[in-house]
Amino acid sequence: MASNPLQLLAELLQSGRANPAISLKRLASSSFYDLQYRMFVIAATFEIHSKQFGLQQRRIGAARLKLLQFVACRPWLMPIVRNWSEAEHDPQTLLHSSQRLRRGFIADSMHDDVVDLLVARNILVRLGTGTHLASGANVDLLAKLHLAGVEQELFSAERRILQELLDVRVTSNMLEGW
Amino acid sequence: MPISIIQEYAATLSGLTGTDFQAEVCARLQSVILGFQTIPAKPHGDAGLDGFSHNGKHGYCCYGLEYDSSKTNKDRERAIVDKFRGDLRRLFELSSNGSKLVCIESPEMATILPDGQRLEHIELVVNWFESHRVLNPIGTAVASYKTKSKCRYVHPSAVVVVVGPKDLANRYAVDEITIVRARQRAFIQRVQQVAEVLTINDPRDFETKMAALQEIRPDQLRAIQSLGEQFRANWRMALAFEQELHDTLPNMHRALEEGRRRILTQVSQLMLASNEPWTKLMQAGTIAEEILRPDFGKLYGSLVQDVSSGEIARLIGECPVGWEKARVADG
Repeated sequence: MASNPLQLLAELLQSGRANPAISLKRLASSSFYDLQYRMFVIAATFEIHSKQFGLQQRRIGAARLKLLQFVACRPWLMPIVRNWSEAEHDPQTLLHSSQRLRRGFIADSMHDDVVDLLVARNILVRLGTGTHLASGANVDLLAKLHLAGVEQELFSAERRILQELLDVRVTSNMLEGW
Repeated sequence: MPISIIQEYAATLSGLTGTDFQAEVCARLQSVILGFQTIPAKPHGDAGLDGFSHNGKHGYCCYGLEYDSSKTNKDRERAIVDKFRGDLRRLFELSSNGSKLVCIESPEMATILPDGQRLEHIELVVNWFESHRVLNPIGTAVASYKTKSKCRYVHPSAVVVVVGPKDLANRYAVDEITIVRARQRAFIQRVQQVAEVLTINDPRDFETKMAALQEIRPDQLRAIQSLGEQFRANWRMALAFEQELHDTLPNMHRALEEGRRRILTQVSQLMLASNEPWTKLMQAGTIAEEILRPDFGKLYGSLVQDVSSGEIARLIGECPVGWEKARVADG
């Protein structure tokens, strides 16, 4: 009998004269690389976490947006963010809780690409040196996207995490890279 | 408070356990101490010593304590003291007979250190050094061993120090290569740990296929059962690898997604184009490895084979590749 499991399986199926059933249906692809999904998460993050800026605009720190949307897409990271936030004054715990997450969200280049697109469409505008993102002339699109998600009860896990993140203190230290 | 590369290295070191910790410490010391010599533990044992330098005058013992959330600091202190006392007794050629210390001979030590050389400085490198309470028991044990031992391999005036991750990270410059190596080791260890405990969300399709296989070959029930376990283990490994990439290296996760798409296309094409599709299934693992290795081979070489097998198990488990019993009319 073969030691390689695939070889063993092939031998069993071959000798058993099994009929192949190959489905060309692709495995469900990850939604993380779906532009509309990522736009929705950014929309929800902006709607929930942005602050009033001037008379008619809202704004959010670019790094804050990046971290919050990263966690919203990965609800299982929520306890780590809580620990990280609570361990701000305990360097040892801080390092353990933050190391992987920090590297992860900073490397999320697809988020940067989606933000570039939103800026190009004048949905968001960069402020100053790009440290903040504010609502642009076409920001309505984000509000509508978010509203549609709420009304149709879509992406409830992401929206729930974003609500929970309102209670987590995200400090400037947490938003810094290595 | 930006975190320095030294702090990151210390944190990564303290996250490594077991032989991964030992391997990283040895790699680190080898890169900074000219003449650092590692000591392979197999096949004859390492006699309690994991490495030496300075022509046999400096010795190094490592302990990558396994973290366990149920363990208290006291448990950890005890584990560290017990481990290092054990290593030191072997270096001093002593064995504990109840509360008594008895001299023994360590034939392997003679084959490790240069002739006539004795250790004058011993470093006990550990991945958890958050309590000074390990120092007294170890220091006291060393003093006692010196009086009881014939000191053939350890000088009577030898100095023994405990070194933690922070000490090791601070002692020599940390460069990019060091950080990448440590991250890589931590990544691999984490994937392996997660794979052991990960639960496959919905294995029903997979179980149905295994049941169909048992129906096709009722004479091979045990082999099919073991095959199923092997596939499940491989599948978990692929899922753990994906999850870790997803959380820590999103860009590489994207490369994995792309690789998966290509694996599915190539395996399906090969099987559909063949009159004997099952013979082509054997090539699926090789195809997966050939596709994944260029992107992941350099960083995670040791995982690529398992992950490749896991990707094929996933294709079977998540639907594209399946089988059914031949109908009577099929012959």
